[in-house]
Order: sequence, then structure tokens, then C-alpha cells
Amino acid sequence: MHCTTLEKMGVPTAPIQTQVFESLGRMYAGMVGMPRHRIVTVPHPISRVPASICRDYIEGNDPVSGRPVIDEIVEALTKPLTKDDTRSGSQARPEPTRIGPDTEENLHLHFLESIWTDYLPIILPTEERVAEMLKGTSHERDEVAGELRSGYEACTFTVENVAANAVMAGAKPEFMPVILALAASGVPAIATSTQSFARMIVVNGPIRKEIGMNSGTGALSPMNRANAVIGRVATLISINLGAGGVPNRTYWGSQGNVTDYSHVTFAENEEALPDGWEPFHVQMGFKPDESSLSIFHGYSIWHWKDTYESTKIGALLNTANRPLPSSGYKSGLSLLLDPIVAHDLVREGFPNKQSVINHIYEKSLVPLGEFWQYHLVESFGLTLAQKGIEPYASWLKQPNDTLIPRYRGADEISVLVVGGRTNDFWQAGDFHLIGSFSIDEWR
Amino acid sequence: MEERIAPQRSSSILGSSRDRPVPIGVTIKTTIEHGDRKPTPERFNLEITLLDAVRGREALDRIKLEGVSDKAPRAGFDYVLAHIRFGYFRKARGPLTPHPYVLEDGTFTAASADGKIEYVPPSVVRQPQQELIGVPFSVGDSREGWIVLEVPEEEKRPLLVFHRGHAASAYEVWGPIWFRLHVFDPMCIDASCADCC
Repeated sequence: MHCTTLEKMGVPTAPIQTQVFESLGRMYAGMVGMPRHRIVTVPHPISRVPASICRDYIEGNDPVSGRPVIDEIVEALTKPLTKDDTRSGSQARPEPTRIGPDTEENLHLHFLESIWTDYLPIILPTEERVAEMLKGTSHERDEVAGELRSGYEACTFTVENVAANAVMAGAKPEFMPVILALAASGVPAIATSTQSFARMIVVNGPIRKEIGMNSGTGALSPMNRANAVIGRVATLISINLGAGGVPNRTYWGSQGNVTDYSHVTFAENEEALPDGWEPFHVQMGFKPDESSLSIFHGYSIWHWKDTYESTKIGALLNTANRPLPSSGYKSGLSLLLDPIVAHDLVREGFPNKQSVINHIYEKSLVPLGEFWQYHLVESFGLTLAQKGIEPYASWLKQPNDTLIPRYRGADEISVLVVGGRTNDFWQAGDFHLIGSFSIDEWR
Repeated sequence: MEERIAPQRSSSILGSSRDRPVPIGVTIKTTIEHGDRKPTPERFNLEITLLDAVRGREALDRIKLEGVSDKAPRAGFDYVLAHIRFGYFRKARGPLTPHPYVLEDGTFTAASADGKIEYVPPSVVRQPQQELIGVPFSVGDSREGWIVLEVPEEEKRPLLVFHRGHAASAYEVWGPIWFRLHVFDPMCIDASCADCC
């Protein structure tokens, strides 16, 4: 896109992309008004590939055009653009649509073939069902609810569009404020990245009880309608209203993520919090009687129960100090504690969540020699260091045995309490907070 | 290239398409990604109202009076002064970085009636008062100000384009917001004019 902008300013460019992003590069060029921009393609991947192979790519042929890469670069930089190169056009945007009556079987087939589902059975969003779903909010059906971008430019959608997806996922009308807050957040559940990300979605406040969410035993299992449906509708909205989730077209997660089916969706067990431990939404500035939805970004969660440590905080530190997939450059840590663990931590001298977070942040350290070897640090953090951006630039000058914080900041660590007090387990993941959003605005 | 070709997208949502520009006086609420946090840049709400559009002699007189430019517009072009109210608000709560937002030259551009041609904003000595371009917005700020644009004299129904990705962000794919940079004309008799006929 930057190349297209430069070309529009009269500066010759030779944009180079790897082969798997061919359609993405072409799409972006189209979006900024130059769909025939001369783009050079090299094989994929280039990350962590030996320099000799990268050289072969440059000295070899463009895998799309079959022409020598070097020739294409030289031409792009020296041969003036033709009228055809700069020709613009129109892009068809996916628009919510109404389809005519048909048999149930045909309609299901139509939804599948149109890639409007997650390939699990859906409830067909008939006019009557959507109208019933809209009773769950005071907002008008034609009101703009938000925008989502999942690869293509942002798609704008209405309350009615969200309601249709809520029907498909199996929601009840009373779930609508939560689902609308989710959609209005502007955060697509399905990210486009090659890294197969997922989301964690946490509901706080009175609405948890009003819609019957599970925050106790089995809260993270598919054993509660609200938990399951809210997570699922996040994916459907991302596919249908954010134009996302189509492999190699709007989604490049190499292996994908099983969590994307319904994400890590639960309500915090506020009732089981120890005295002095605030619910997550209160930590984020909401009042206790307000309802909020918090969306986190990461890969996954794991079960932990460290039987070799005599204290819970020691065991949690062991968890925190294990390299996570996103360690280093953008690491987050989410600790999902059973209430038993939270109460144990109070007995160990941690009067609130922040004291746990601060302790873990201060004690979770990594030697620079290990830090620089993390893949994401090598890919992104090293570049920042070389540009002189702190603290990376200073770290680059220090010896490899220098200890630095494993997490980018204490605010990248979240503590949430969920579970039914049947065992002193916790789960940990690399999710970090994107933001907390009001649900009450969508009642 | 002096003229840029604007992308198109069809949409029934007001402001999302060059076919459905936001009329003068109507506030549009929209979203941007902003800041350097990767891979999840923060999202902010914008509220934008094109309050007025002053064109031709009146615009030129004001531009000279305020020392915005000592030059006449390019041959065949008119100056247009756009009066805009711009608000920048937090979308989420949490420990987020309060990134200031800066409107840059080219964040707002004028475009042809069909939206297919954008007109590069003129170079000016200083921005018209009250300034919008180059003055940082803190989260929660809402201010009115003026920007200066140029459109061809024969362009009677120009559009205003707001480029959401223009301000210091790598995430440039949110797509533009379209406004009507002209006042509704009750005397219009052009049957092809979607504005009033």
C-alpha cells in the first residue's frame, strides 16, 4: 500500500511480496485504487530462511509470472507506468442480503456454499427469527452497530445484521446486548495473520446472571448456552460482517486455531472473588453494577497444576517464566484462576489482583541472550532495536546475561477468577487485553 | 501524478461509499485503528461533521486575509474552505496508551462528484484558523476548524474524502468516509443528480 501511495506521488517503486500473499497484495493495491500495480513475487517463506536461499529467490524467477525477479524489479523502477497500470475500477463489497424462500435443505446448502457459516449447523435467520432477536435490544434494526475489518477494508453493519448472526449461532434475544457490544468493538474474532491467533472474551457485571452465563464448574467447557453461543457468534460475525475467515483470501493462519470455534469465552466468577479482589471490569474502570465485555488477543491457554511448589505464587511464577508462543516482543499473560487458587494467594499475602500481577511482572525475567532468539523478537523487536527505538536499542548493547522483564509491562498481565472450587487448578495463556467495552450501551 | 484515483466500494451505509456521501451538517461516527501496538492496534471512535463549505471568491478573500496563501488557486480551480468538527474518543477502557491523533495534509481531500478523481490539496503557507491540520487531538477532544482544498471550477458537486488510515498508521485499509462538499441545491434540475432529483 505504501508503494501505491508513492507511485501516486510519482515515485517509482518495486513492491515485493511472497507468494502466499499474492491475492492479498493484489487486493490492497485495488483498495487504494491501483489494482494493476506491478508487484514482484518471490517464494514463501522468507522468515528465518538462510540468506543463501533468499538470494536464490532474488536471482530466480517470480513464481507467479515466471519472469526473472531482478528484471521485474528493474522494470518496475525504470519503466514508466502505463495507463493500464494506473487504471482504477470498482470492487464488489460483500453486502448483507436477503434471499428468497426455498427448502430448508437448500437454504442450509446455500449458506454453506456462500461461506456464511463456521460449518457447524446453524439456525436459519428467517425474518421472524431476526425480528424476535431484535427484541433483545432497544436499538433500531437499521442503526449502524459498527465496523469490522478482517483483511479487506472495513465493512459497516447494522444492528439487524448482527441479529441475523446471533440467530444463526443459536442465541436468545437477551444475549443481544453482549453480542452487539462484541460486534461494535471493531475487533474481528478471526484475525488475518499467518500466526493463527484467537480471542478470549470475558463478560463481567450483572448481565452474566441475567443471561445465565457460567462462571463456575465447567465454565470453559461447552456446557452453557450463553458461553458457547457468544463465542461462536464472534466468529460468525467476523466471517459474515467482517469479510474474514476464508483461507488464503482473508485468512492466512498457517495451521488455524481450534479455539476459533467459540474462543475462550466465559464470565468471571465475581461472587467467588476473595475480599479485596476486584472484578476485572472494575479494574478497567467500570462500576460494579455495570456490565462489560473484555476482548483479549493471543493463541491459546494451557492447564497448569504445579505440584512441586509449596506456594501458589511460586507455582504461578513457574507458569509465567515458561516461554509462551508469543514470548518477548508482544507477550501477554492471562492467568485464569480457580477461586481456590485465588483464596490461597490471599493467604500467601496477596490482598488483591494487582499485587499478584506486580509480583509476577517483577519476578518474571529473561536473559537477553534468550530474548533475542525468540522468533517474534527476531522478526519484530530486533528491527525496532536497529531503528533506535527504546528499550530495544539499549538492550541490544547489553550483555546476553542481562535480565530483562519477560513481559512488556505489568498491564500485559491479567488475572481472572473462573471455576467451581472443585480443584486448585489454573489455566494460563498468552492472551493480552485489547480493550473492555460497555455492554449496557447496547441494552 | 496530480490526480489520484479513489477506490470504490459499494455500500448502503451513509458515508461508506462515494454513492452515499454524508450531507453537510450530519455527524458520522466511525472507527480508526491508531497507534503502534502490534498486532492489535487500539481502536478509537471518531465523530466528524462537515459543517460548511465556502467556495470561490469568498474562500479566496478569507485565504488572503488570513495569510493562508498569497497565491490564487491553480488555473481552472477554485479554493474551497471546509469547516469541520472533528472528535476523537476512546472506544474501549483498559490500560491503553493515550495516543494523540494528528490530521495530516491529505487526510481530507476533495474529490469529483462521482468520487473517481481526488484533487491534491493546495500547498499553503499556513492553515486557516481555527487549525485542524497538524494540531494533535488528545483522546476526548472535539474541535471545529477549517481546511483548505481545491476543486476544478466546473466541479459543481464535489465530495470530501476522509482517509482513515492516513495518520501515522500502518493500518491503512479501513477505507475512506465520503462527505458531500457542496450544499444541497433546491434549484437543481439535473435529472441525473442523486442529491436532489
